[in-house]
Amino acid sequence: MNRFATALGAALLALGLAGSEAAAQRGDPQALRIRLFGDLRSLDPFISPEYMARNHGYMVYDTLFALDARLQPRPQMVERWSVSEDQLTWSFTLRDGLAFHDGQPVTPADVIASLRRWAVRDGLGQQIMALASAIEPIDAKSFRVVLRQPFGLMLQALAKPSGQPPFIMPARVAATPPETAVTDPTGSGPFTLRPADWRVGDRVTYRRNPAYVPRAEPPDGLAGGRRAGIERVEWVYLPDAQTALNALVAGEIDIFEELPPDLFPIVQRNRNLRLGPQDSVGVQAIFRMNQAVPPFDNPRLRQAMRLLVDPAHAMPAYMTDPALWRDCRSFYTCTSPYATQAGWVAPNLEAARRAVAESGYDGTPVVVLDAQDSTISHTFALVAADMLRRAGMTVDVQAMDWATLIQRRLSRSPGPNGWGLFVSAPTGLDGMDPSGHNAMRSACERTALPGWPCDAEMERLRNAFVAATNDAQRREAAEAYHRRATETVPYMPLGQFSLVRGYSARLRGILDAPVPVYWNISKAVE
Amino acid sequence: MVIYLLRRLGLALLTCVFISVLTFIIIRLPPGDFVDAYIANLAASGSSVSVEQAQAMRQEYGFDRPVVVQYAFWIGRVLQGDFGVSMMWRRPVTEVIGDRLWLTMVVSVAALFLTWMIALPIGIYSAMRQYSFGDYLFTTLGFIGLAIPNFLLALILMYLGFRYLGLNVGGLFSAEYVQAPWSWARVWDLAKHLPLPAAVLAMAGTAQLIRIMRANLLDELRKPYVITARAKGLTERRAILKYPVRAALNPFASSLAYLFPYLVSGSIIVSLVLGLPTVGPLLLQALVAQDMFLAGTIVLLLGIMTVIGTLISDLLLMWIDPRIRLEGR
Repeated sequence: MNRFATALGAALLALGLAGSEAAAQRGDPQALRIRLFGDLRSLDPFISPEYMARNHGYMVYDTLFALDARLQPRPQMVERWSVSEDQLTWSFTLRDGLAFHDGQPVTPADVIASLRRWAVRDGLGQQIMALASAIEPIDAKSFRVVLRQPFGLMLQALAKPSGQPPFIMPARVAATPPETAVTDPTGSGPFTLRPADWRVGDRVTYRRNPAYVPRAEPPDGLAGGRRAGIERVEWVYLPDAQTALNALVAGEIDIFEELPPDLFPIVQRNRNLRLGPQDSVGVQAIFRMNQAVPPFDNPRLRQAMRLLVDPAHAMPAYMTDPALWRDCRSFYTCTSPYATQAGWVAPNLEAARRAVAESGYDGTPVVVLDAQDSTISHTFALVAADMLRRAGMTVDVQAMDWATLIQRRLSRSPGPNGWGLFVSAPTGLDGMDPSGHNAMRSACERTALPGWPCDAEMERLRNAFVAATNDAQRREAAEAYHRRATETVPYMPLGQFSLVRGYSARLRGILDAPVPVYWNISKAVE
Repeated sequence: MVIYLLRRLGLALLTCVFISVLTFIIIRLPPGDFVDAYIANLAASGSSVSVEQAQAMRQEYGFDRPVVVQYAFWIGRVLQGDFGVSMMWRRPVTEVIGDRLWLTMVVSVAALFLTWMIALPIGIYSAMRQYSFGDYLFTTLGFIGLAIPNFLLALILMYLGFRYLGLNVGGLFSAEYVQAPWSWARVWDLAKHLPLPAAVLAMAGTAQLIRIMRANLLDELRKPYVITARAKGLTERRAILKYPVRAALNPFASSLAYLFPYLVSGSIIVSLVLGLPTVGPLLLQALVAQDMFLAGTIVLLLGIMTVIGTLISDLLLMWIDPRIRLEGR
C-alpha cells in the first residue's frame, strides 16, 4: 500500500510539473498560435488551389499591389506606376529596401519571372500575357508591360487577393517548371519559413523577417504597412474542433479560424475570448446543379430554382446570428462594387411549384451529394433537399465525405451513381466580378468539370468585361453578365455569410482584411 | 526448436510479400486516381489542368503503365529503401512520416504496458476472489471502460487534464519541444505527455484482458495440479504465480501480434481528437486523398510490424508455455 501511495504521489507530482510548465508556455508573448481551417499541403500558391497555400503565400511573399479595406488596389511593393495615354504601356518602379529572405534584392527580373509563372494558371494573368507584346526591365528597379490593346484590369489583376494572387518570388524559384510545385519558400514577405519548420500534418512555424521594410502607411485591408508584431507565428493543425476549442480556452492557441457556429456560445461566455468575422468579405454558399444530366439539363427547371431558393430561408440553418449573414440576392458577392440584382427573381414557393410543374419535370430523382465531414456543405445540402421536396421534386440524398464528393463530381452518368446537386462555399473574393468569378464560368468542360455550365453568350459577356477600358463600361458589362446568368442559371447562391474566428482577448491589431492575415498583431502581456 | 524458428521466419517473409501485393491492390481499389482528385480540386477553384499536363502527371507517377509493372516498380524501389514521394505534400514519404512511426510505437508500447499493468493484477485478483465485492467492482469498471467510446474518453480526460491539472491540450510535446532535436529534455517532455493518450488507448483493451485473464486463471485454478501443489505445501503465492498464472498468460503474449496495428488503426479518431503526431491521422489523410505512395508505405509498414509482432509473440509463447516449446517431441 505504501509503495502504491508513493507511486501515485510521484505520478501526480509529474502531472503537476507538466501542468505548471504547460501553463508557463501559454503566456509566451512572442508566439502567435493559430488553428487554421486545414493543413498546409503545398508551398506553391500558384499550383495549389487550396486557400491554405494562398494564406501561406501572404506570410512569406509580397505583392506588387494589394487591396485596401474598400477593395481598391493600392501599391504595395511598387513605389510608383504610370500608364501611357493610349493605355498600352504600364510602367512600374519598385520601392527601396525590398529584399528576399536570402538577402538578395528584389529586381525587375524576379518580378517578371514570377508574373510569367503566375500567368500559367491564373485567368487574369493569361489575359495579360495574351495581350502583352513585351514585359521587360527598364532599369534596376523598374519594368514595363507593353500591351497590344488596352487592358483595364491591370491593377486589379496585380492586386488579385485570392485564387492565385500574383506573389513575387526570386527568379531562380519562379524558374521551377509550372507543373512542378516550388519547395523553396524564399520570398520577400514579412515572415520567413525555414523548410525544417514545416512539420507535415502537425505545424508550420513562421518567423518574423527582421529585414522586411514595411510601407510607411498604416495597414489598410491587405494594403499599407505589413509589420510583423510577433516573433513567431505557428499554424497548428488540430483537426478536431472540440480539441481546438479546449486549446483556445486553455490559452494554448490564440486564434481558432472557422469556428463552428455551435461553439459560439462557449466563446461568448468566456471573458478571455472574443468572436469576430475572420475576413471582411465572407463566403457565398453555392447550390450547384449538374447541367449535363436530367433533371437539371432542363433550363426551365433551373429557372424554376430562381423562385425556389430563398437565402432568408436557407441562411439561418447554419448561421443563427443575423449580423453574420446577409440576404444577398446576387451572383456577385454583395460587398463587391459590381454587386447587382439585375434580372433577379424574387423567391416565391407557390410560383416555384408551378414553374417546376410547367418545366416538364418528370419526377427524376435529384441526387444530392451530402458531404458530412463539411459542416457547411452538409447543412446546406439538407436545406437544398428540403427546398426541392417543397417544390414537389424527388430527392435522393447521398451521404459521403468531401473526398468522395470530389470524386463523384467527375461522374458523367445520370441516375443514382452520378450527381445532381451539391453545395460548396467559396470565398466571396472569388465572386467579386465576372473576370474572377469561377462559379459563374460557363466555358463548358474546357475549364471545368462534367455538368458545369456551358453558354457561349456568358463567355462573350465575360470577355467584354475583361476588355472594358473604364469603370462605366465594366459596370455595364458586369450587369449584362449577371442578367444573362439569371437566364442560364449557372448555379444558385444560397446566401452570403461570414466565417468566424474565436481569438484571445490579449490580441491587438487584428486586421479587417479580405483574407485572414497575421501581420500587425501583437499580444498584450498578462 | 531451430526448425520451428526457421519455419516461422520463412512464413513471416512469405506473409510480407503477400502483404505488399495486397497493399498495392487495396490502395488501387478506389475509382480514379490521385490525378483525378487533383484535377477535381483545381476545377473547384476555377483552375484547370490541360490534357497534356494530366498525362505528364500520370507518367510521372507511373499511372499509365500496366498494374503489374506499377507494382514491380513500386516494390523494387521499396526494397532499395525508396518509398517514393508523397503526392499530397510532394515531399519524400520518409520525410513526411518522419518520426511519426517511432512516436506511434512509443504511444502503442506505453498503452500496451499500461494495459498489462492494470489488467494483470486485477485479472488475478478477480479470479482469486471470484464474486467478491472487488471482483464486481472491477468487472463493472472494466465494462464501463469497454463501453465508453475512446474519443469521448479522450475528450473527457483532456478536459479534466487541462482544467484541473493544467496539462497541455493534446499533442505529445510542449510547444518548445515540437521542433527541437532529440535530447533528454525532449524525451522527458514526451514522457510527461504520454499518460493521457496511453490511458485512453489502454482503457478498452484493459477490460478485455481482465476478463480473459480472469476466465483463464479460473480454469487453471480448478485443475488437479494446483490442488497437488497446495497439498505439497507450496506457499499460496508460489502455487498461484508460478504455475496457473503463467499458463493463463498466453493471451497476453498473443495479443502482442495484433495490438500494434489495432492501436494504429483503432487510434485514428483518438489521435485526431488528441492531436497526436502519429501515423494514424496521416494514413487517413493519405487514403482520402488517394496518395498511393504514402498510404501504401504506411499500410506496408503496419503489415510488416504485425508480422514481426506475431514472430515475437510466438517466441514469447514458446518461452512461457512448455507445451508449445515441446510441441512435436
